[in-house]
Amino acid sequence: MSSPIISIDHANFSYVTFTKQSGFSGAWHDLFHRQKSTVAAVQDISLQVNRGEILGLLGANGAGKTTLIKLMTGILPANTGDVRLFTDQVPFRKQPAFLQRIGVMLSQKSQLAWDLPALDTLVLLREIYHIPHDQFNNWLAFLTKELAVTPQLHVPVRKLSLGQRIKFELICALIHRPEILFLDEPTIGIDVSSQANIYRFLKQLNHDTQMTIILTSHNTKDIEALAQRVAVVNHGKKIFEGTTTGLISRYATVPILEIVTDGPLTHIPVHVRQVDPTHYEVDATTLATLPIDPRQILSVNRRNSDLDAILTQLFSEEAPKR
Amino acid sequence: MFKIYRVLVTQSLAETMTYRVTTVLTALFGILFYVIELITGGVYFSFTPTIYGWSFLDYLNLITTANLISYGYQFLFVAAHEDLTDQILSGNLDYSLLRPVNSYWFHACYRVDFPSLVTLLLTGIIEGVILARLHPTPLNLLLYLVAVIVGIAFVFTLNQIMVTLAFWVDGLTALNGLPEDLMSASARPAKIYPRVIQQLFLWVIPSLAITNVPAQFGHNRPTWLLLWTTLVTGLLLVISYVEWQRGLLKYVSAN
Amino acid sequence: MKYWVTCQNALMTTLAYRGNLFLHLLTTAINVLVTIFMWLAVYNFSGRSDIAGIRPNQMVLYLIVVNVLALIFSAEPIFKFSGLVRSGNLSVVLMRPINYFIQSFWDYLGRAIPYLFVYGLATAIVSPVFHRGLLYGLSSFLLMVITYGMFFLLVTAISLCTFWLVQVWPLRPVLSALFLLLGGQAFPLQVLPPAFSWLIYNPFSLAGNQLTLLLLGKLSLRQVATAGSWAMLWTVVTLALLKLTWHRGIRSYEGVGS
Repeated sequence: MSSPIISIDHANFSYVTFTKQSGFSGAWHDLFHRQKSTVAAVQDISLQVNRGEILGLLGANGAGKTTLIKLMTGILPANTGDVRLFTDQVPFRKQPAFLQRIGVMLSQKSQLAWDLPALDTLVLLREIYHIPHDQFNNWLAFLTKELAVTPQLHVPVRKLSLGQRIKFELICALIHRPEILFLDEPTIGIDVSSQANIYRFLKQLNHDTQMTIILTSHNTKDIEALAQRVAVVNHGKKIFEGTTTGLISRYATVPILEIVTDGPLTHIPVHVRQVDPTHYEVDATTLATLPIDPRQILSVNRRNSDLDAILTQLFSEEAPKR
Repeated sequence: MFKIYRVLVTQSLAETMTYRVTTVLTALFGILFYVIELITGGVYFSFTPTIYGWSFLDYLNLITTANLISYGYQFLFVAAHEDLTDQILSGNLDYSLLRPVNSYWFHACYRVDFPSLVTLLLTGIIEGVILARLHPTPLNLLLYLVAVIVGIAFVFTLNQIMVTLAFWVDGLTALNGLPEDLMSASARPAKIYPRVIQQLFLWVIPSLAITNVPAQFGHNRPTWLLLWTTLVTGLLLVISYVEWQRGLLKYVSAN
Repeated sequence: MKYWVTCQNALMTTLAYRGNLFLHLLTTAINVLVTIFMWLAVYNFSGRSDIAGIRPNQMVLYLIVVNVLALIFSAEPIFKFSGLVRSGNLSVVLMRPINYFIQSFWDYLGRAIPYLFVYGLATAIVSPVFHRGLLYGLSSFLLMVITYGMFFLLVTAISLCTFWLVQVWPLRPVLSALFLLLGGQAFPLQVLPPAFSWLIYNPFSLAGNQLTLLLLGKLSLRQVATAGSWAMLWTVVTLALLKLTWHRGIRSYEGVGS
């Protein structure tokens, strides 16, 4: 068994914020006394990722996902604990050889030059990462074809749609063929077909090149579509680690089935409760089979089996202790 | 590093070409600014032939040299500094931390401002004409050029130090204009100022020396001050570099 | 009173960024000192005790007043507008049920309040303007108001350049240079040969040179009236210019980021 490509051991990170008061007197007050508070963004997190894995980091806004990504990529140093990539690299040291092996895409931040075509930024990255010309051209042709943005390569970035821009951000992160790809909220704000395109491409990439992919999202679709394993972070702490189905089966414990029928049932069996003429709830605790004629059923859902619902519940339950 | 710089210069040129009108106007504004300086100088010297031993031609040499330094800085660094200020204030430096290049030089050389090249060249030609009439010796001419280059480096470090301050103080945009004010205030013969001010800006923050020294070489009055300005510029360069490293740490922890 | 809120916010901004306020004053002080020292050197070496009827101490006073006065005439609307155009946020602003220019004026006014306050105090207490009878006081006040409005419109008209200009930073030194030369900050325009006397009616001079002379009590009622008429003329011209360029500009505006 080879050693993990990413290994985080009891990492902690906290930062200091200043609270600003509103209004005139508030501004006056801030002039002399600024109120400091320490926020623990990552608390005692341990995590290991193997080569070729796709790991999803789930969490609400401000849960610490992005901070975790920044610890792994070396943007931030861990206060305590240990973060290592490729067994011996400490990310924060930012050794050029290390930076050469990772690719990062941060949503909300852009590395594309606004007034120039994306190609220009990519050419700059070619020089920064010392990529041989022919290798660069072939790989770029492949990437733009797969992501369906070849015609946009020569269009100034400011004239691209958000989806096209995100795809080029992704290409920027991939242009030097990193071994680990970090994606922070990769599909935020883009349409469903672009999302599907990106998912398919990333899956194929992972399959073909064994590229390790770490992605954060609060969009559970991203995670369900891609991740083989998830870690759920809430208020800086890891509260779950495992597969998505594992997550569902662990938290979707209430065995209530929600059934939609094509019309009202003539007879309502025991254990079945009518919500409205075509919606029924079945308490399946003691049942081995469904007490409703399958021919009448349009859909069956286990309540609480939806990832979103589970996460909503999880995030609201685990209140922070301060 | 050189290859990267070539790409950056090419990109700057591409951006300039996208906005040709801007380029033309910027160049025109630069010239206008210089003409206004000329007129002001003309007004001063319409009342007296010399001021502290500086004739109108010497004075022209001084302000043209000061402009040469200022346009040199603008051509090489001002667009990069503008961009850097934006990047720091909008918290968009994360990618710079992730690339295997020296982020200080990358951001300092991120863009060159081609419109300023036009004014730089024009000022250069005018200065050439002035120097031809002042007849500096070859050695003085060489040292004149050295002094101008030191001057550009000096203005660069001052601005770099100010721009990087944005890591700690936000909303203090007027700070970025300070080096420019200082340099335009320094485009005068040092002797017009009271002794204290002279000493301060010749020796402590040698902005007066930066403009006066090359001008003096131009009209064959060499000075050892050049050594001092070179030394101070080197020191400021180191300070700005350390400040940058500190700033990145601060950026990271306030993320 | 939605515009009043804008004005208040602008004042708050100026006060909140008191560092900028301080630096602005410092910059002004530096510029004044440079000019004063240069002029004193000119007086010294020319051997004259007056230039165009102005003695050294009067020159110093003039230079201080004109430079402080320049503080209330800021070019900030240009950079604000440029920011809106560059970011594409102009589309958002235009959708709001307010007139951008009126809002911009209140913003402009709000930012200048600390300077206006000082200026007002100086005018009321130190300067002889309001001790020369009602008519003179009233016309002086009118001149100040018209000139202030005129200058705002001028700056706004210039700000429309941003539709065609990507970077407006070169405008900043140019405007200050124009104010320096045409506004009479570097020297009173009166020292120029008589052939250039018409220059005193350019908009920068009306704002700088003429208002300074007014404050120093050097303008007769007739001169106040002349300056006022010119200010009004410039107001009309800039308004026309604004109307003309605005429509063309909006058409060339790409709606970046939409």
